[in-house]
Amino acid sequence: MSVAEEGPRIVFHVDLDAFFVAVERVLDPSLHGKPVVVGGSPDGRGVVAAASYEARAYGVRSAMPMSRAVRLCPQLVRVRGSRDAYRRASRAVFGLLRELTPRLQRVSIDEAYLELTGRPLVEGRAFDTALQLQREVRDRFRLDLSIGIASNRLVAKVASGASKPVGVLEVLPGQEERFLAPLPVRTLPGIGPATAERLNAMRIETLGELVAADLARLSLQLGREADGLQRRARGMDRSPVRPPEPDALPKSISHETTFPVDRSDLRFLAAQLEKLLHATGERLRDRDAHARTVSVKLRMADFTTCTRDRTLGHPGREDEDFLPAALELLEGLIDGRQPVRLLGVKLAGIERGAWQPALFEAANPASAGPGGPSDR
Amino acid sequence: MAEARARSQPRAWLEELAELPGVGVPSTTETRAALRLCGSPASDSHGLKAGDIVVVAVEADAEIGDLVVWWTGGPHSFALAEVGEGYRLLSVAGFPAPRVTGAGAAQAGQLGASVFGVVVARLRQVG
Repeated sequence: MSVAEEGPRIVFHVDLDAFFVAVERVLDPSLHGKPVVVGGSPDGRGVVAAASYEARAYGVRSAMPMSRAVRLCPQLVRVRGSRDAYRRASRAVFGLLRELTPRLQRVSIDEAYLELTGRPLVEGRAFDTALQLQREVRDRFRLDLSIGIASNRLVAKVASGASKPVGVLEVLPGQEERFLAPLPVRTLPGIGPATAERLNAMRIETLGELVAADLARLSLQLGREADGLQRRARGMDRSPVRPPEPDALPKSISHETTFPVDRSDLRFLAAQLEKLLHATGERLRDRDAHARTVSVKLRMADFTTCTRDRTLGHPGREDEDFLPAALELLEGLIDGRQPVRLLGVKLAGIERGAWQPALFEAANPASAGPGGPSDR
Repeated sequence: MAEARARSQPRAWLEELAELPGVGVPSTTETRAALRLCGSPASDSHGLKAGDIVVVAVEADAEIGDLVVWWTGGPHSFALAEVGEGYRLLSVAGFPAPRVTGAGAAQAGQLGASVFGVVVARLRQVG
Protein backbone atom coordinates (compact mmCIF):
# COMPACT_ATOMS: atom_id res chain seq x y z
CA MET A 1 0.00 0.00 0.00
CA SER A 2 1.15 3.51 -0.68
CA VAL A 3 -0.44 6.83 0.13
CA ALA A 4 -1.97 8.73 -2.80
CA GLU A 5 -0.15 11.91 -3.69
CA GLU A 6 -1.79 15.26 -2.97
CA GLY A 7 -4.42 15.97 -5.57
CA PRO A 8 -8.16 15.68 -6.10
CA ARG A 9 -10.29 14.04 -3.43
CA ILE A 10 -10.88 10.30 -3.71
CA VAL A 11 -14.41 9.32 -2.76
CA PHE A 12 -15.93 5.85 -3.08
CA HIS A 13 -19.64 5.20 -3.20
CA VAL A 14 -20.13 1.57 -2.26
CA ASP A 15 -23.38 -0.23 -2.94
CA LEU A 16 -24.14 -3.86 -2.08
CA ASP A 17 -25.69 -5.48 -5.15
CA ALA A 18 -29.27 -6.81 -4.72
CA PHE A 19 -28.41 -6.91 -1.05
CA PHE A 20 -31.45 -8.58 0.54
CA VAL A 21 -31.53 -11.28 -2.13
CA ALA A 22 -27.76 -11.79 -1.83
CA VAL A 23 -28.06 -12.37 1.94
CA GLU A 24 -30.93 -14.81 1.36
CA ARG A 25 -28.69 -16.70 -1.07
CA VAL A 26 -25.94 -16.94 1.53
CA LEU A 27 -28.51 -18.43 3.93
CA ASP A 28 -29.96 -20.72 1.24
CA PRO A 29 -27.58 -21.39 -1.67
CA SER A 30 -30.32 -23.24 -3.61
CA LEU A 31 -31.68 -19.77 -4.48
CA HIS A 32 -28.68 -19.08 -6.75
CA GLY A 33 -29.57 -18.60 -10.40
CA LYS A 34 -33.30 -18.37 -9.68
CA PRO A 35 -35.57 -15.34 -9.99
CA VAL A 36 -35.93 -14.42 -6.31
CA VAL A 37 -37.79 -11.62 -4.55
CA VAL A 38 -37.92 -10.59 -0.94
CA GLY A 39 -41.29 -9.26 0.15
CA GLY A 40 -44.83 -9.78 1.38
CA SER A 41 -47.47 -12.23 0.22
CA PRO A 42 -49.09 -11.79 -3.22
CA ASP A 43 -52.47 -12.56 -1.62
CA GLY A 44 -52.51 -9.41 0.44
CA ARG A 45 -50.88 -6.03 -0.07
CA GLY A 46 -47.34 -7.41 -0.21
CA VAL A 47 -44.80 -5.46 -2.22
CA VAL A 48 -41.40 -6.43 -3.59
CA ALA A 49 -38.69 -5.17 -1.23
CA ALA A 50 -35.83 -6.49 -3.39
CA ALA A 51 -35.50 -8.47 -6.62
CA SER A 52 -32.63 -10.58 -7.96
CA TYR A 53 -31.19 -9.68 -11.37
CA GLU A 54 -32.88 -12.83 -12.76
CA ALA A 55 -36.24 -11.51 -11.55
CA ARG A 56 -35.49 -8.03 -12.90
CA ALA A 57 -35.06 -9.60 -16.35
CA TYR A 58 -38.82 -10.30 -16.21
CA GLY A 59 -39.57 -6.69 -15.38
CA VAL A 60 -39.92 -7.27 -11.64
CA ARG A 61 -38.87 -4.18 -9.66
CA SER A 62 -38.67 -3.02 -6.05
CA ALA A 63 -41.87 -1.51 -4.62
CA MET A 64 -44.00 -3.35 -7.21
CA PRO A 65 -47.09 -5.12 -5.78
CA MET A 66 -46.18 -8.77 -5.27
CA SER A 67 -49.30 -9.91 -7.13
CA ARG A 68 -48.05 -8.09 -10.25
CA ALA A 69 -44.53 -9.51 -9.83
CA VAL A 70 -45.94 -13.04 -9.74
CA ARG A 71 -47.95 -12.35 -12.89
CA LEU A 72 -44.82 -11.12 -14.68
CA CYS A 73 -42.74 -14.09 -13.54
CA PRO A 74 -44.85 -17.10 -12.48
CA GLN A 75 -41.78 -19.13 -11.43
CA LEU A 76 -40.74 -16.37 -9.01
CA VAL A 77 -39.34 -17.62 -5.69
CA ARG A 78 -40.56 -15.42 -2.84
CA VAL A 79 -38.85 -15.22 0.53
CA ARG A 80 -40.26 -13.23 3.42
CA GLY A 81 -36.92 -11.77 4.40
CA SER A 82 -35.09 -11.34 7.66
CA ARG A 83 -34.28 -7.77 8.64
CA ASP A 84 -32.10 -9.00 11.43
CA ALA A 85 -29.89 -11.03 9.07
CA TYR A 86 -29.60 -8.02 6.75
CA ARG A 87 -28.57 -5.76 9.62
CA ARG A 88 -25.91 -8.23 10.77
CA ALA A 89 -24.53 -8.67 7.25
CA SER A 90 -24.49 -4.90 6.72
CA ARG A 91 -22.62 -4.32 9.98
CA ALA A 92 -20.03 -6.97 9.05
CA VAL A 93 -19.38 -5.52 5.57
CA PHE A 94 -19.18 -1.92 6.74
CA GLY A 95 -16.89 -3.00 9.56
CA LEU A 96 -14.48 -4.29 6.93
CA LEU A 97 -14.78 -1.10 4.87
CA ARG A 98 -14.01 0.94 7.98
CA GLU A 99 -10.59 -0.75 8.10
CA LEU A 100 -9.81 1.12 4.89
CA THR A 101 -10.78 4.51 6.26
CA PRO A 102 -12.47 5.79 9.41
CA ARG A 103 -14.17 8.42 7.27
CA LEU A 104 -17.13 6.25 6.28
CA GLN A 105 -20.68 7.53 6.07
CA ARG A 106 -23.39 4.90 5.91
CA VAL A 107 -26.42 6.23 4.10
CA SER A 108 -28.57 3.11 4.21
CA ILE A 109 -28.35 -0.56 5.08
CA ASP A 110 -26.52 -1.29 1.80
CA GLU A 111 -24.81 1.97 0.80
CA ALA A 112 -21.94 4.07 2.11
CA TYR A 113 -19.51 6.80 1.12
CA LEU A 114 -15.82 6.44 1.93
CA GLU A 115 -13.31 9.28 1.88
CA LEU A 116 -10.01 7.78 0.72
CA THR A 117 -8.15 11.06 0.26
CA GLY A 118 -4.74 10.74 1.86
CA ARG A 119 -5.28 7.07 2.76
CA PRO A 120 -3.01 4.18 1.75
CA LEU A 121 -4.08 2.74 -1.61
CA VAL A 122 -3.25 -0.54 -3.35
CA GLU A 123 -0.44 0.28 -5.82
CA GLY A 124 -1.23 3.93 -5.06
CA ARG A 125 -4.38 3.61 -7.16
CA ALA A 126 -8.01 4.05 -6.13
CA PHE A 127 -9.17 1.69 -8.90
CA ASP A 128 -7.03 -1.22 -7.65
CA THR A 129 -8.06 -0.51 -4.07
CA ALA A 130 -11.72 -0.79 -5.06
CA LEU A 131 -11.10 -4.06 -6.91
CA GLN A 132 -9.32 -5.53 -3.90
CA LEU A 133 -12.16 -4.43 -1.65
CA GLN A 134 -14.66 -6.08 -3.95
CA ARG A 135 -12.69 -9.34 -3.88
CA GLU A 136 -12.33 -9.28 -0.11
CA VAL A 137 -16.04 -8.73 0.50
CA ARG A 138 -16.86 -11.54 -1.91
CA ASP A 139 -14.33 -13.94 -0.31
CA ARG A 140 -15.31 -13.19 3.27
CA PHE A 141 -19.06 -12.67 3.04
CA ARG A 142 -20.06 -14.04 -0.40
CA LEU A 143 -21.63 -10.65 -1.16
CA ASP A 144 -21.05 -8.45 -4.20
CA LEU A 145 -20.31 -4.74 -4.25
CA SER A 146 -20.48 -2.11 -6.93
CA ILE A 147 -18.16 0.83 -6.42
CA GLY A 148 -18.14 4.28 -7.97
CA ILE A 149 -14.98 6.35 -7.63
CA ALA A 150 -14.80 10.09 -8.19
CA SER A 151 -13.49 13.33 -6.78
CA ASN A 152 -16.75 13.94 -4.91
CA ARG A 153 -19.79 12.18 -3.45
CA LEU A 154 -22.23 13.20 -6.15
CA VAL A 155 -20.29 11.78 -9.09
CA ALA A 156 -19.20 8.70 -7.13
CA LYS A 157 -22.87 7.91 -6.50
CA VAL A 158 -23.78 8.21 -10.19
CA ALA A 159 -20.72 6.09 -11.10
CA SER A 160 -21.64 3.24 -8.77
CA GLY A 161 -25.11 3.11 -10.30
CA ALA A 162 -23.54 2.88 -13.74
CA SER A 163 -21.11 0.15 -12.68
CA LYS A 164 -23.76 -2.35 -11.54
CA PRO A 165 -23.69 -5.24 -11.21
CA VAL A 166 -20.35 -6.07 -9.60
CA GLY A 167 -18.38 -3.32 -11.26
CA VAL A 168 -15.93 -0.61 -10.40
CA LEU A 169 -16.34 2.59 -12.38
CA GLU A 170 -13.85 5.37 -11.87
CA VAL A 171 -14.61 8.83 -13.21
CA LEU A 172 -11.23 10.37 -13.87
CA PRO A 173 -10.51 13.66 -12.06
CA GLY A 174 -11.37 16.63 -14.23
CA GLN A 175 -13.74 14.57 -16.39
CA GLU A 176 -16.81 14.82 -14.15
CA GLU A 177 -18.75 17.19 -16.41
CA ARG A 178 -17.98 15.17 -19.52
CA PHE A 179 -18.99 11.94 -17.80
CA LEU A 180 -22.33 13.34 -16.71
CA ALA A 181 -23.16 15.29 -19.88
CA PRO A 182 -24.99 12.59 -21.90
CA LEU A 183 -26.89 11.16 -18.93
CA PRO A 184 -30.63 11.80 -18.52
CA VAL A 185 -31.40 14.54 -15.98
CA ARG A 186 -33.10 11.99 -13.70
CA THR A 187 -29.73 10.31 -13.13
CA LEU A 188 -28.58 13.20 -10.94
CA PRO A 189 -29.37 12.63 -7.27
CA GLY A 190 -31.78 15.34 -6.20
CA ILE A 191 -33.64 15.58 -9.50
CA GLY A 192 -36.98 13.90 -8.85
CA PRO A 193 -39.81 13.15 -11.26
CA ALA A 194 -41.40 16.61 -10.83
CA THR A 195 -38.18 18.56 -11.56
CA ALA A 196 -37.34 16.20 -14.43
CA GLU A 197 -40.78 16.83 -15.92
CA ARG A 198 -40.31 20.60 -15.71
CA LEU A 199 -36.86 20.31 -17.31
CA ASN A 200 -38.17 18.02 -20.05
CA ALA A 201 -40.92 20.57 -20.76
CA MET A 202 -38.08 23.05 -21.40
CA ARG A 203 -36.55 20.48 -23.79
CA ILE A 204 -33.76 19.73 -21.36
CA GLU A 205 -33.29 15.97 -21.40
CA THR A 206 -29.62 15.47 -20.50
CA LEU A 207 -27.31 16.90 -17.87
CA GLY A 208 -25.21 18.45 -20.64
CA GLU A 209 -28.30 20.34 -21.82
CA LEU A 210 -28.97 21.43 -18.25
CA VAL A 211 -25.45 22.87 -17.99
CA ALA A 212 -25.87 24.68 -21.31
CA ALA A 213 -29.30 26.11 -20.44
CA ASP A 214 -29.70 29.83 -19.82
CA LEU A 215 -29.67 30.37 -16.06
CA ALA A 216 -32.26 33.17 -16.13
CA ARG A 217 -34.70 30.96 -18.07
CA LEU A 218 -33.97 28.07 -15.76
CA SER A 219 -34.53 30.23 -12.68
CA LEU A 220 -37.98 31.23 -13.96
CA GLN A 221 -38.99 27.57 -13.87
CA LEU A 222 -37.02 26.28 -10.91
CA GLY A 223 -36.51 29.33 -8.73
CA ARG A 224 -33.45 29.68 -6.55
CA GLU A 225 -32.40 26.07 -6.89
CA ALA A 226 -31.54 26.56 -10.59
CA ASP A 227 -27.97 27.72 -9.97
CA GLY A 228 -27.16 24.88 -7.58
CA LEU A 229 -28.70 22.36 -9.94
CA GLN A 230 -26.57 23.60 -12.81
CA ARG A 231 -23.44 23.30 -10.70
CA ARG A 232 -24.34 19.76 -9.69
CA ALA A 233 -24.99 18.88 -13.33
CA ARG A 234 -21.38 19.96 -13.96
CA GLY A 235 -20.33 17.39 -11.38
CA MET A 236 -19.48 20.00 -8.74
CA ASP A 237 -20.09 18.93 -5.16
CA ARG A 238 -18.15 19.88 -2.06
CA SER A 239 -20.17 17.98 0.47
CA PRO A 240 -17.98 16.14 2.95
CA VAL A 241 -18.14 12.48 3.83
CA ARG A 242 -19.42 12.69 7.39
CA PRO A 243 -18.78 9.76 9.68
CA PRO A 244 -21.43 9.59 12.37
CA GLU A 245 -20.69 11.37 15.61
CA PRO A 246 -19.96 8.83 18.31
CA ASP A 247 -23.33 7.57 19.53
CA ALA A 248 -25.18 9.88 17.14
CA LEU A 249 -28.94 9.82 17.46
CA PRO A 250 -31.26 9.52 14.47
CA LYS A 251 -33.43 12.53 13.64
CA SER A 252 -36.54 10.39 13.85
CA ILE A 253 -37.72 6.83 14.37
CA SER A 254 -40.80 5.52 12.62
CA HIS A 255 -42.87 2.44 11.93
CA GLU A 256 -45.73 1.94 9.55
CA THR A 257 -47.93 -0.87 8.34
CA THR A 258 -50.14 -1.49 5.31
CA PHE A 259 -53.32 -3.44 6.07
CA PRO A 260 -54.29 -6.50 4.01
CA VAL A 261 -57.68 -4.84 3.45
CA ASP A 262 -58.62 -1.20 3.96
CA ARG A 263 -59.95 -0.47 7.47
CA SER A 264 -62.14 2.29 8.86
CA ASP A 265 -62.90 0.91 12.31
CA LEU A 266 -61.42 3.42 14.77
CA ARG A 267 -60.98 0.86 17.55
CA PHE A 268 -58.99 -1.39 15.26
CA LEU A 269 -56.89 1.54 14.06
CA ALA A 270 -56.27 2.73 17.61
CA ALA A 271 -55.07 -0.76 18.61
CA GLN A 272 -52.73 -0.85 15.62
CA LEU A 273 -51.45 2.62 16.48
CA GLU A 274 -50.66 1.45 20.00
CA LYS A 275 -48.65 -1.51 18.63
CA LEU A 276 -46.73 0.70 16.21
CA LEU A 277 -46.03 3.22 18.93
CA HIS A 278 -44.71 0.47 21.19
CA ALA A 279 -42.30 -0.78 18.48
CA THR A 280 -41.14 2.79 17.82
CA GLY A 281 -40.81 3.53 21.54
CA GLU A 282 -38.70 0.40 22.04
CA ARG A 283 -36.18 1.68 19.54
CA LEU A 284 -36.16 5.06 21.28
CA ARG A 285 -35.60 3.42 24.67
CA ASP A 286 -32.85 1.17 23.20
CA ARG A 287 -30.95 4.37 22.54
CA ASP A 288 -31.68 5.72 25.96
CA ALA A 289 -33.26 8.74 24.31
CA HIS A 290 -36.34 10.94 24.52
CA ALA A 291 -38.52 12.44 21.78
CA ARG A 292 -40.38 15.72 21.63
CA THR A 293 -42.69 15.18 18.66
CA VAL A 294 -45.10 12.42 17.71
CA SER A 295 -46.58 12.16 14.19
CA VAL A 296 -49.32 9.99 12.78
CA LYS A 297 -49.55 9.22 9.08
CA LEU A 298 -52.52 7.80 7.20
CA ARG A 299 -52.76 6.68 3.61
CA MET A 300 -56.35 6.37 2.47
CA ALA A 301 -57.86 3.90 0.02
CA ASP A 302 -57.42 6.43 -2.81
CA PHE A 303 -53.73 6.84 -1.88
CA THR A 304 -54.11 10.36 -0.50
CA THR A 305 -51.69 10.66 2.39
CA CYS A 306 -51.97 12.93 5.40
CA THR A 307 -49.65 13.46 8.32
CA ARG A 308 -50.21 15.37 11.57
CA ASP A 309 -47.77 15.93 14.36
CA ARG A 310 -47.79 17.26 17.88
CA THR A 311 -44.89 18.56 19.93
CA LEU A 312 -45.22 17.57 23.56
CA GLY A 313 -44.77 19.94 26.46
CA HIS A 314 -41.71 17.97 27.50
CA PRO A 315 -39.71 15.15 25.90
CA GLY A 316 -41.28 11.72 26.35
CA ARG A 317 -39.88 8.25 26.63
CA GLU A 318 -42.62 5.79 27.56
CA ASP A 319 -45.50 4.69 25.31
CA GLU A 320 -47.99 6.45 27.58
CA ASP A 321 -46.11 9.76 27.13
CA PHE A 322 -47.05 9.72 23.42
CA LEU A 323 -50.23 7.67 23.22
CA PRO A 324 -52.85 10.31 24.17
CA ALA A 325 -51.49 12.78 21.62
CA ALA A 326 -51.16 10.06 18.97
CA LEU A 327 -54.77 8.91 19.49
CA GLU A 328 -56.02 12.49 19.26
CA LEU A 329 -54.09 12.96 16.02
CA LEU A 330 -55.55 9.72 14.64
CA GLU A 331 -59.10 10.78 15.50
CA GLY A 332 -58.51 14.14 13.87
CA LEU A 333 -57.27 12.51 10.67
CA ILE A 334 -60.11 10.01 10.23
CA ASP A 335 -62.81 11.69 8.20
CA GLY A 336 -65.10 8.64 8.04
CA ARG A 337 -65.44 8.91 4.27
CA GLN A 338 -62.39 6.94 3.26
CA PRO A 339 -61.11 3.66 4.69
CA VAL A 340 -57.44 3.55 5.68
CA ARG A 341 -54.81 1.63 3.75
CA LEU A 342 -51.68 2.46 5.72
CA LEU A 343 -51.02 3.68 9.24
CA GLY A 344 -47.70 5.00 10.48
CA VAL A 345 -46.24 6.65 13.55
CA LYS A 346 -43.04 8.66 13.94
CA LEU A 347 -41.14 10.05 16.91
CA ALA A 348 -38.93 13.04 16.18
CA GLY A 349 -36.98 15.73 18.02
CA ILE A 350 -34.89 12.99 19.57
CA GLU A 351 -32.47 13.87 22.31
CA ARG A 352 -30.37 12.08 24.85
CA GLY A 353 -30.70 12.20 28.61
CA ALA A 354 -33.48 12.26 31.12
CA TRP A 355 -35.94 15.12 31.11
CA GLN A 356 -36.16 16.93 34.37
CA PRO A 357 -39.14 19.16 35.10
CA ALA A 358 -38.42 22.74 35.98
CA LEU A 359 -37.59 23.07 39.62
CA PHE A 360 -40.47 25.34 40.62
CA GLU A 361 -43.02 24.17 38.06
CA ALA A 362 -45.25 22.29 40.52
CA ALA A 363 -44.95 24.89 43.24
CA ASN A 364 -45.85 27.83 41.05
CA PRO A 365 -48.34 26.95 38.31
CA ALA A 366 -48.30 30.54 37.09
CA SER A 367 -44.68 30.19 35.98
CA ALA A 368 -43.65 28.75 32.61
CA GLY A 369 -45.70 25.62 31.98
CA PRO A 370 -44.71 22.51 30.08
CA GLY A 371 -42.75 23.45 27.02
CA GLY A 372 -41.92 26.88 28.36
CA PRO A 373 -38.46 28.06 29.39
CA SER A 374 -37.03 26.12 32.30
CA ASP A 375 -35.31 27.59 35.31
CA ARG A 376 -31.56 27.29 35.53
CA MET B 1 4.26 -18.61 -40.30
CA ALA B 2 3.23 -18.45 -36.67
CA GLU B 3 5.75 -15.72 -36.21
CA ALA B 4 4.28 -13.77 -39.10
CA ARG B 5 0.80 -14.15 -37.60
CA ALA B 6 2.06 -13.04 -34.23
CA ARG B 7 3.62 -10.03 -35.84
CA SER B 8 0.37 -9.08 -37.63
CA GLN B 9 -1.66 -9.44 -34.42
CA PRO B 10 -1.28 -6.36 -32.20
CA ARG B 11 -0.52 -6.97 -28.58
CA ALA B 12 -3.55 -5.02 -27.42
CA TRP B 13 -6.43 -3.36 -29.16
CA LEU B 14 -9.70 -1.57 -28.44
CA GLU B 15 -13.07 -2.79 -29.63
CA GLU B 16 -16.05 -0.49 -29.78
CA LEU B 17 -19.03 -1.77 -27.81
CA ALA B 18 -22.56 -1.43 -29.10
CA GLU B 19 -23.77 -1.13 -25.53
CA LEU B 20 -22.19 -0.33 -22.25
CA PRO B 21 -22.81 -3.15 -19.77
CA GLY B 22 -24.60 -2.32 -16.54
CA VAL B 23 -27.30 0.27 -16.12
CA GLY B 24 -27.48 4.02 -15.89
CA VAL B 25 -24.97 4.98 -18.55
CA PRO B 26 -26.35 5.17 -22.07
CA SER B 27 -24.87 3.03 -24.79
CA THR B 28 -22.67 4.57 -27.43
CA THR B 29 -24.12 7.88 -28.59
CA GLU B 30 -23.00 10.62 -30.93
CA THR B 31 -20.88 12.13 -28.21
CA ARG B 32 -19.82 9.09 -26.28
CA ALA B 33 -18.34 5.68 -26.98
CA ALA B 34 -17.46 2.66 -24.92
CA LEU B 35 -14.39 0.66 -25.92
CA ARG B 36 -13.22 -2.64 -24.48
CA LEU B 37 -9.51 -3.22 -24.03
CA CYS B 38 -8.57 -6.58 -25.61
CA GLY B 39 -5.41 -8.66 -26.02
CA SER B 40 -2.52 -8.40 -23.59
CA PRO B 41 -2.03 -4.79 -22.57
CA ALA B 42 1.29 -4.04 -20.95
CA SER B 43 1.35 -3.20 -17.29
CA ASP B 44 2.06 0.45 -16.50
CA SER B 45 1.11 3.16 -14.06
CA HIS B 46 -2.48 3.28 -15.37
CA GLY B 47 -3.10 -0.34 -14.33
CA LEU B 48 -5.36 -1.12 -17.29
CA LYS B 49 -6.19 -4.77 -17.94
CA ALA B 50 -7.81 -6.79 -20.72
CA GLY B 51 -11.59 -6.54 -20.36
CA ASP B 52 -11.52 -3.01 -18.96
CA ILE B 53 -13.96 -0.66 -20.61
CA VAL B 54 -13.01 2.92 -21.26
CA VAL B 55 -15.79 5.47 -21.58
CA VAL B 56 -14.80 8.07 -24.13
CA ALA B 57 -16.23 11.54 -24.67
CA VAL B 58 -15.91 11.97 -28.38
CA GLU B 59 -15.94 15.77 -28.60
CA ALA B 60 -12.26 15.87 -27.83
CA ASP B 61 -10.70 18.86 -26.16
CA ALA B 62 -7.78 17.15 -24.56
CA GLU B 63 -5.60 18.71 -21.91
CA ILE B 64 -2.20 17.69 -20.68
CA GLY B 65 -2.56 14.68 -18.41
CA ASP B 66 -5.71 13.35 -20.11
CA LEU B 67 -5.97 9.81 -21.35
CA VAL B 68 -7.16 9.82 -24.96
CA VAL B 69 -8.16 7.34 -27.62
CA TRP B 70 -6.34 7.81 -30.84
CA TRP B 71 -7.68 6.59 -34.16
CA THR B 72 -5.17 5.89 -36.89
CA GLY B 73 -7.72 5.00 -39.56
CA GLY B 74 -7.25 1.28 -40.18
CA PRO B 75 -8.75 -1.83 -38.56
CA HIS B 76 -7.67 -2.44 -34.95
CA SER B 77 -6.37 1.08 -35.02
CA PHE B 78 -7.87 2.62 -31.92
CA ALA B 79 -5.05 3.20 -29.48
CA LEU B 80 -4.72 4.63 -26.02
CA ALA B 81 -2.34 7.46 -25.30
CA GLU B 82 -1.65 10.00 -22.61
CA VAL B 83 -1.32 13.67 -23.44
CA GLY B 84 2.10 14.64 -22.16
CA GLU B 85 3.96 17.92 -21.79
CA GLY B 86 3.97 19.89 -25.02
CA TYR B 87 0.88 17.91 -26.09
CA ARG B 88 2.96 14.95 -27.12
CA LEU B 89 1.11 11.66 -27.10
CA LEU B 90 2.75 9.09 -24.85
CA SER B 91 2.41 5.32 -24.93
CA VAL B 92 -0.15 3.75 -22.57
CA ALA B 93 -0.71 0.04 -21.75
CA GLY B 94 1.83 -0.97 -24.39
CA PHE B 95 0.07 0.72 -27.29
CA PRO B 96 2.67 2.32 -29.50
CA ALA B 97 2.62 6.08 -29.18
CA PRO B 98 0.69 7.31 -32.21
CA ARG B 99 2.81 9.03 -34.78
CA VAL B 100 1.71 12.60 -35.16
CA THR B 101 1.79 13.56 -38.78
CA GLY B 102 0.78 16.72 -40.58
CA ALA B 103 0.61 20.27 -39.44
CA GLY B 104 -1.68 21.18 -36.61
CA ALA B 105 -1.94 17.63 -35.27
CA ALA B 106 -0.55 18.46 -31.89
CA GLN B 107 -0.75 22.15 -31.30
CA ALA B 108 -0.99 23.65 -27.87
CA GLY B 109 -4.45 23.25 -26.37
CA GLN B 110 -5.87 21.30 -29.28
CA LEU B 111 -5.07 17.94 -30.74
CA GLY B 112 -5.47 16.83 -34.31
CA ALA B 113 -8.57 15.26 -35.75
CA SER B 114 -7.21 11.77 -35.23
CA VAL B 115 -7.92 11.94 -31.52
CA PHE B 116 -11.15 10.01 -31.21
CA GLY B 117 -11.97 11.25 -27.73
CA VAL B 118 -10.99 11.79 -24.12
CA VAL B 119 -11.28 8.92 -21.65
CA VAL B 120 -13.63 10.17 -18.94
CA ALA B 121 -14.12 6.96 -16.97
CA ARG B 122 -13.14 3.35 -16.88
CA LEU B 123 -15.11 0.32 -15.81
CA ARG B 124 -14.10 -3.16 -14.81
CA GLN B 125 -16.68 -5.79 -14.03
CA VAL B 126 -15.81 -8.89 -12.12
CA GLY B 127 -19.18 -10.63 -11.87
